[in-house]
Amino acid sequence: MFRRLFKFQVVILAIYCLPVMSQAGEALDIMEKVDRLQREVADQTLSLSRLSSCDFAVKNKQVSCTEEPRVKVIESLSRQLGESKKDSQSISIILEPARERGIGMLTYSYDDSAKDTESWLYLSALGKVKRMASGSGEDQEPVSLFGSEFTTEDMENGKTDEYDYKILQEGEYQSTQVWVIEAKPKPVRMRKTHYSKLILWIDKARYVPLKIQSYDRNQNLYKRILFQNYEALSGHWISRDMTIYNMIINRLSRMETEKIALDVPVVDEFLTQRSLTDFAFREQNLDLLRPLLK
Amino acid sequence: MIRLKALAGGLLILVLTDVNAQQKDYLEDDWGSDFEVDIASDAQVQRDGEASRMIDAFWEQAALKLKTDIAYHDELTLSRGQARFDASVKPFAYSFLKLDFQYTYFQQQDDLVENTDSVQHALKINDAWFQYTHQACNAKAGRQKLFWGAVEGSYALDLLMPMDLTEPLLTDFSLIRRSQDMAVFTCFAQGWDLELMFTPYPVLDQSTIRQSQPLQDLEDKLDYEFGGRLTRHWTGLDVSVYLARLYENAPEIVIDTTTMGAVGYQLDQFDLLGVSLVHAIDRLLLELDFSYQEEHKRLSLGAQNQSAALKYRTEVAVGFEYTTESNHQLSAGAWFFSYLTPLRPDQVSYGEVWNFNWSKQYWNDDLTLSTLALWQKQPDAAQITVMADYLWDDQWSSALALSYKAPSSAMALTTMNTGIKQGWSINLGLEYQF
Repeated sequence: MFRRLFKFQVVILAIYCLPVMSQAGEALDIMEKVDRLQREVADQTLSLSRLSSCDFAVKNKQVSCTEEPRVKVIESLSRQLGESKKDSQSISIILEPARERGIGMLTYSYDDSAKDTESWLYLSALGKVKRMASGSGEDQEPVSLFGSEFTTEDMENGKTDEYDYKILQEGEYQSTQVWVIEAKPKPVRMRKTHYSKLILWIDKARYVPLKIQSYDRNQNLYKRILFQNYEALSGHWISRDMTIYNMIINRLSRMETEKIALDVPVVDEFLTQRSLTDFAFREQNLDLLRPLLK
Repeated sequence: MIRLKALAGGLLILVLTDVNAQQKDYLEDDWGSDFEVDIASDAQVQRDGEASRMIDAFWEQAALKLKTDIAYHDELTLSRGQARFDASVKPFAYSFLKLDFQYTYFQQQDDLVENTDSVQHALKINDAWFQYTHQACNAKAGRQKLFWGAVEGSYALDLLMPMDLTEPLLTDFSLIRRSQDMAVFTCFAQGWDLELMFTPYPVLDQSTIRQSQPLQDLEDKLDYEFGGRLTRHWTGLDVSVYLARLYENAPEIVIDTTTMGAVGYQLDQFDLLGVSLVHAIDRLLLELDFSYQEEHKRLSLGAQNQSAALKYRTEVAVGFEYTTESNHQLSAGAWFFSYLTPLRPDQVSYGEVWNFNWSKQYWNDDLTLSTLALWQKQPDAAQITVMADYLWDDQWSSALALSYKAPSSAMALTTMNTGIKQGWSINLGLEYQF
């Protein structure tokens, strides 16, 4: 009896698990490709972005702000480094609003979780560069980006090894063939995430996300990110309009990439503390790159 | 048998759960393609090379801040309005120009207004400098601020900018510094920075709307200041070495021991040798400043040089900054100074100042709560300020601060703001910036 049931169990498990195992492998391959393409977009990229945040309401299938949106305009330059291009260096300068104009931040982050992220902040009121204690990727709690609904976790890449992936469904979504993939954090990620799982709608042709939904620790829908206005630039697909909806507090943030230039030549010296205080140097270098913005 | 039933039951649940999961159709979107998002978006940002005509760019970067502040302590002690204009532009290749002018209107209730029948005005130039960069170096000349040292709120090395005690010290030390006319040359090379500074006309601490005549006379007698800082940046560690010839920022008042009245001022020019370290370990930033100061010469105004021996002193400041997992920002510093040479009996030969700061942002960063506590020994004094800063929108903000200064008969060191009266006081500020 036990042997018969054991055989039955083996057959059932084989039928049930083998497709999942192969799907998991395929899902990981897909997500690694998506991640690699996103890192390529972040390599040697200059962008001018507008970040708007507001409380929102939904009425007659229309999402609208219920208050005047807060708007930040940020100019950023980034590049990826390391063997697998998983380390990154970036500088961001706030252009709007007036009260924050000139605040600049330089960040070096490393794929090696034992290495602390290094960041320096230029405080325009003091005219001084200050080193910040950022901690390592290992212990970092996600923090809000410029007071918006986007967190460092929503924007990071190169962390595919910290999730288990599974294809939930395939088919047509908004006239596009997609994979619907579930990403569940492994224990290493669980310690530092606010999310219990992510569900991603991945465009099969372009390997880009169309939508990401994240769930809180009680499995409630927490955030929804919609990627719109995809445009092909230098062989890469760029979403010009990314909106994140916090479904718990009904607040949204919209990141509009107003201008972007990929594969720009970045001099090594530019992504150093010098660019935070030597304005003449910074503006001269940026003025050479700004005509490339599209 | 029970084990087998449980196993079969478990498998059934597993299969049914999966069937249930498969039933959810992720391709049916609850926010479909017919969904519209309407977020007001201003005109497109113009910041490309073509649009960078100098005048357009200048106004594009300009900001005007209007601010009003009042403080209450039994009666109004601070009542003033302020307009601040800030702009920057790149006039030509490899150059940069920055302007920051501040006009303050002091109402007659303001304690700084000496004649109670009048109002007074003051125009301050916070920044008016021009920067030119060439290869690995740049030169920056004009009215500017330059901060040295690592430990905020300590003056072991941060000695270049004198105090502006007409501004209230709430929870931000940067508010109470005077800009100076300087030339600063900086070179950068692979993790090294070398900075050289020259101040042709140094100024002193200021605690009245216009610098008092005796202090102005003293400022006129000062020679230039000069110095340099060499910094090496490693991963997680910055080390700087300083060498400079500077003046003290606060002159010593000379008192006639028979009449007990002030008869003049003395000011030391000294040579400074310093080292500072900043070390980031995880979320913790450790800071150390050390300086050795040797008096070079003494300048007297209205009084004979009262002590013949030249002074030597050492200063040490240690501090830390820590950001918790939930983004509470904590920092603390301790600053000690000690004279190595004997002083007159009425002079303080040893002192220490401690500060503690906490801040945290709430409500999508709209509300910032902060606290600054200061305590000093010899002479003893203490002060604590709790402040709430709220952003109503991208233009309007307001601040409310509650301060307590412990009763003390002693003169506070310059870290403590003399503008805050003993006991409780409340400050209110309203700001519009565009």
